[in-house]
Amino acid sequence: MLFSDDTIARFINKNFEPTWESVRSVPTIRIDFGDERVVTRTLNGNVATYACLPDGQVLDILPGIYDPGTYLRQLQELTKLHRFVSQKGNGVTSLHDYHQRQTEALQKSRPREVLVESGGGFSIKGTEQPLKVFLVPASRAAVRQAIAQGQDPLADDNPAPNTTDGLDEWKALVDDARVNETTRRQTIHEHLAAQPEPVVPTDITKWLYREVLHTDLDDPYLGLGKLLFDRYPFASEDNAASDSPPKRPGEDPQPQR
Amino acid sequence: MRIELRGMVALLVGTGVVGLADEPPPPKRRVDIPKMMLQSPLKRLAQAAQATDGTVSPLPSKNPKVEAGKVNWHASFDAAKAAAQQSGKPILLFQLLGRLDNRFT
Repeated sequence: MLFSDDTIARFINKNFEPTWESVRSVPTIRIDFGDERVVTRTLNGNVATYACLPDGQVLDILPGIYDPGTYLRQLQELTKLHRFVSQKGNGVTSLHDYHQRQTEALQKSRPREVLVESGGGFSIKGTEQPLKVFLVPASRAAVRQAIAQGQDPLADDNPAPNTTDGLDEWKALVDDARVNETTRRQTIHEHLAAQPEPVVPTDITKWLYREVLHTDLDDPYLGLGKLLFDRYPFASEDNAASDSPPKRPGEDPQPQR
Repeated sequence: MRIELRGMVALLVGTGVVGLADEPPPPKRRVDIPKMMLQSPLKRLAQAAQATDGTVSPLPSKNPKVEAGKVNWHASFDAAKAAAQQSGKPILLFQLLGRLDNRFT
């Protein structure tokens, strides 16, 4: 589990006030192979990570599952976003601009813009300079940060595992994270940029699951009804054998046998 | 091969027997066990499942509890908000289908 990773857990505990909530029970599927082998798996187990201001206003959302390296980098970005929005002179307008600029970058298939910290310390006159956060194009930020840290700006900072153990899982996670960071994030930035008023998680949870994570929380079958019922050849036999009247998608969930 | 959605459990109310879908299959060789030895555990199980008002209590979970990682989670969004207003830190809200402290999430 991502939250069992020491680095991620430490970062969250240090920089956030974390909480989790279940939006509904998770559907699981149990396959009985008939030879004493039974496999249980989850279906549509989608997750989302919100960063919010202390008053609950949504800053940004990470949709879906990430590999640990990408997740940590995105959490770091979220803490900078919090500082960016909270710093003097910024606020709701800066948050709107942030989402607008990220939308435009992704619409043009460019990497999203990056928040960088600058300043801090003392000026030539001895006055204390606060650390400020700026939003800059990703290419400029990456080179700038790598050079400042004495690193190779072209180095891969999300290396694959050294062994073949878990390599396939790592590749799948990296692929998922790539989709999350492009297509799904773009939809989120567009939506948040279009909000005339600040939103809290409960305002957009259903929208997020339906439009971004493709899991309609209002549908008892989470969009799987067609797959489960439309081409199932034994539906009429099952219904005849059952004491209860046949159920269709949209009706209350009813166990089949 | 049969596929069953989780949540469907066999509840044999008539006999007072509660069956779980994930229970191991019955042994292939039948063993001659005295009747009382068989009935007593089932009676105890049925009695434990009966609330005082006669209704059947929820079945034991087939989704075992696990540790929700190493993060110090607040109990609710409101609790996290209260803490954030004290500390000035942002809130991290992790939403999911299922429960983070269950094995299947």
